[in-house]
Amino acid sequence: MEKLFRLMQNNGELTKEELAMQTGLSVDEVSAQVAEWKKQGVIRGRQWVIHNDKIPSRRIKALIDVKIKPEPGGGYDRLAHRIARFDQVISCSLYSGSYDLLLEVEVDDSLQVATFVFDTLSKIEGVISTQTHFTLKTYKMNGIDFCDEDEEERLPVTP
Amino acid sequence: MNYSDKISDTVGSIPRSGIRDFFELVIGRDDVISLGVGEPDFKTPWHIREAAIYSLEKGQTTYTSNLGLLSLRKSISKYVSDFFKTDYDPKTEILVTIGVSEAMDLALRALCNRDDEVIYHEPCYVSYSPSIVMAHAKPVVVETKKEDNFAVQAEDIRKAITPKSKVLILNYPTNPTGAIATKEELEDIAKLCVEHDLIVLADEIYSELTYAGDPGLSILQMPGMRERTILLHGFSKAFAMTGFRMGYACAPPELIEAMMKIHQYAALCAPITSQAAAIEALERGTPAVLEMKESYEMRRNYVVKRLNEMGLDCHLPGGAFYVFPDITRYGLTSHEFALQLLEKEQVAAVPGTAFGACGEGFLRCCYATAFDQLEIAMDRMERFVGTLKQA
Repeated sequence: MEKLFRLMQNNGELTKEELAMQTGLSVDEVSAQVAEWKKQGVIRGRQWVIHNDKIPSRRIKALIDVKIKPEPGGGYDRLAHRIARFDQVISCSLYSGSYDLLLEVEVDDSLQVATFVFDTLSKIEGVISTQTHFTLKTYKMNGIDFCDEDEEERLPVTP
Repeated sequence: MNYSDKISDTVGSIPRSGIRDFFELVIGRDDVISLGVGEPDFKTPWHIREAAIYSLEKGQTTYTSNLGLLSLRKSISKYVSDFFKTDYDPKTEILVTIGVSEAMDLALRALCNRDDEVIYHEPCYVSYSPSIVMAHAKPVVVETKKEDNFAVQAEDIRKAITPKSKVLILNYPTNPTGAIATKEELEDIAKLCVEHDLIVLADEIYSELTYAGDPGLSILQMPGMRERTILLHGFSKAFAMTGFRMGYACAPPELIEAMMKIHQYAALCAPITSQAAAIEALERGTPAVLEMKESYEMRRNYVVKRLNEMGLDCHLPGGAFYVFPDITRYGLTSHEFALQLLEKEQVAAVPGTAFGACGEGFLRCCYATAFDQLEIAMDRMERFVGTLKQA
């Protein structure tokens, strides 16, 4: 099952038939396991990895570190969930170190980042400070390398 | 000028490689899915490439010792001790070479006198017979059979032994059949070698890519064999480092010294950049090797299943990244089958005869290619064999 999990994590395009072939499981076993993982909330969805720099309507991405005040009883979770739910936020995790939350936001232009930070984020009770880093260029994402290498330089027939 | 007068009789006597003929049919065609390659489809793991870059940055651009960097030989010694359970002294018993190809050539030239006989098993890698001829020795073929899963049998070797027999070449896992040998088979061969005082050249280049049993199992470990075996190994297949051209030989000091004599005049040393990469590969490359191996194994299982389902009789090979299906039921020669498959369905696979006459009736398909390409290739092959009449 670990093999199935790894294959799915590395390549969301594989069909159930392909997953079955590559793991040696039957198609029914793959379907059952995937259904089970969905039910358990292990699998949350699948997306394409897009090289943002290569699309004409390139959107603006930024990382925002946020210091927040933990709440009695709930710790960081309630506030983190509140922040994560904004549409602009595409990822949100809690970190150890000099800040608490690291958000990745994606919007149409830099003004929208500013609006989100000043008008939305900083007004939330419990947000102590923020620091914004604009993404200039992406080299690797979700384990997928954006450094284009020569694809097929192997000779077609060799001993 | 009549150049044929100028070229040595020995070289003139060597026929063109069957692989070369087939290569020329395929080259330049971009519609072809090739199952004809003999190398991994992975790029060299990044940390190994990084080590090569770092070595250049530090200005390591000199010759090394003829034997290779001592630090690399120490790494090889440790790796071989772990993997093959055999110890070699890095100072006197290890020679770093330019791929296993050079190591094989050095060993044959170091051992053979004119007309000594060298026994090897076919189907096999294309260089053995020519390398034996270039060492002025006589190639003696022992054929392997499908019913033995292409593992050479001691009894067949015994029949080939004459008073002139000096060397036996063994290659497990085997290119092109993917064959592996059992411990019992190796023990029987070892007894013969001791009895007839043969030196064994053990070409272990695919050993990490063994999917059944102990990958480190080698004739080297059989009683009386360490003193009469030259272990030939390298980085090309397991570490996906074909272009680095890195290999090595491990053997008793007298044999390494003899091989080194030729190496120092013919090549001086292996490239230092590649040697730096090789150290990194041995010290930290094993997790990547295991990951690649798992991927090959998955593809092997898929291809063997598909070939058998479409009616091509294909044994499950124990190692390397080749399958060797039997095509005899269609009444075509290997060459005809491969040619028609290329023309009608644009799939390139190498006729078994490129690896020796007893490869007739078989086809070598390399599965070290992207899974989606393999799927298409198998679909096309299925369509192709569907059009053939069984003989």
